[in-house]
Amino acid sequence: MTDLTAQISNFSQTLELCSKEILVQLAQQSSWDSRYRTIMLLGKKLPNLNQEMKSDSALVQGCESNVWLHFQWHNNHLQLAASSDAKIVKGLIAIVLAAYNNKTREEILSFDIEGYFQQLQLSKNLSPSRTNGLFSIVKTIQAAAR
Amino acid sequence: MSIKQQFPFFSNNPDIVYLDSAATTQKPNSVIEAITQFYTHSNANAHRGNYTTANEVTTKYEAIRNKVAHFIHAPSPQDIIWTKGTTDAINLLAKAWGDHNINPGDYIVVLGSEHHANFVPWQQLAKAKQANFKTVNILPDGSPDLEHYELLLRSNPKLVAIQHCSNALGNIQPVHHLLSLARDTGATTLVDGAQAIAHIPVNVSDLGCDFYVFSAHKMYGPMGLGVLYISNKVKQNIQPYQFGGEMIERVSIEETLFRPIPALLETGTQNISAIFGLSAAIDFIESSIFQYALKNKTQLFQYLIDELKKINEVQLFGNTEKNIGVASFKVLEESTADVSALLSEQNIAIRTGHHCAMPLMQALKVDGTHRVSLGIYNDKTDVDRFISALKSAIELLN
Ligand SMILES: Cc1ncc(COP(=O)(O)O)c(C=O)c1O
Repeated sequence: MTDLTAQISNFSQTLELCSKEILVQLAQQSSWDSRYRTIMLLGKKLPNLNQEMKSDSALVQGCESNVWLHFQWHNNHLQLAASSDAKIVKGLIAIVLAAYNNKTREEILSFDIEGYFQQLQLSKNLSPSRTNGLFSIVKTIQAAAR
Repeated sequence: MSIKQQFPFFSNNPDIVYLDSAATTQKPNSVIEAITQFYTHSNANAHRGNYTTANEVTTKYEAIRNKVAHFIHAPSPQDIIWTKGTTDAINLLAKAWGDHNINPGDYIVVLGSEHHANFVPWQQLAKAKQANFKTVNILPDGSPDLEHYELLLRSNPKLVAIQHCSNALGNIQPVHHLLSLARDTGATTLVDGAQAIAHIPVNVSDLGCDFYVFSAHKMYGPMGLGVLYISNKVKQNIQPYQFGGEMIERVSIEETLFRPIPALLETGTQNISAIFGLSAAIDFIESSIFQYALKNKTQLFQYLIDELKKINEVQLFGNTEKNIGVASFKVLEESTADVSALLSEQNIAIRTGHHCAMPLMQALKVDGTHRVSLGIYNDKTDVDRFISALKSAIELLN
């Protein structure tokens, strides 16, 4: 096992995020600022990426801020590690990872991501460029599962 | 009636705080009506028909050319050429003038703070012609390093192309001085006036530049129309870059005789409705209510800068003294993406990013800034709502 493999594995296994809980949590927020506060708190649950993991080759294209994404398969489950230097984006990444981390191909491909985003009411808050950035992460993950 | 009430955008969007006039200005009723009026009452092509409506349109169309000439103090309406915009005008010049006047080894000089529209066409022309493309170093306040400029002028550049005002910072550049030094070397000169035209009086005769360009949409006029001023003395160096209808005197199988500038460069049907709209925009700018509001805008800008300076986390860029009303800033320790998301959530319309001036951002050592740009319609409430939204954003991110 290389260092990077171990690091991705580590990141992926320490993540404790559940998409259902996130939906409930965000639905409870009544004001725009508390929604963002919640999103940013979710971002804080992501472990830090070290310098090696913040390599240019891991950068996701199409994002307004820097987004790094790593993935690998482990026992038929997709291990994900990702982060951003922007706090809100980092929170959004946590929301995406909650849906996809440690899931099988079938689970990933059958997950209704657009419905998920709609329930989170994120599209209203996100500019097209920001949503595009988020969707490029999603597309990369979906492509990995195909 | 307040000046804001003349802009239907604001009654249709009462929640939006529009602080992005450097990207494009909102349009007053008079401009919108002039465009509608053209299509509902006068729609005919200029310089084409010989019936009454067509003749009337042609007369008005040429009268507006004359009005634009007066507006920027050009010696003759024949010095005014319609284009699609500033970018189009500069690209036109790179072909119609650049292709025939730039030779291998020649020098082209631009400021390091140019908008890409006045940077990339010259950079690419230089590449194609094996000429040298040089940029003047930018000082920390966004103004050009004059020593470096004089050094570059020693290469006797063929072209000096400079911005009148910076779109990213709002700086009013010392164009008079820059142009007079450039003239002494015999360079042909171009001024990108896209950001100046709505804010400061422009006098091309006084500036003594060979080319001056601007867009109607940044001066309360319509999109899709630009103006290119060409001084009489450089007209002989210009060749047509497109071929077609109105530019032609006579065509036979053997040869074609061209008409002089402006027709030479105005191939095909022009954006006549927008030209009628521009006429109304000039009337608006020359009105006393506008000129009065312009003074208020200067005070409002000072207030905006004072309020921004009170926020510890804010780092301001640019020269805020000689400025058209643009505040360019960054929130220390925060990503611009975060701040911009939280401002947009609060209905604040500003621009975040590199502002099509990446070489300038590199010189200032930032990835991008937030740009607040004032228009004639902005008032203290707009600035207060923006400042309070910015404070909320900073607090939330902390
Ligand atoms: C200084 C400057 N030059 C050129 C342009 C390009 O103008 P347009 O998009 O109207 O062609 C802009 C517009 O942002 C500008 O600010």
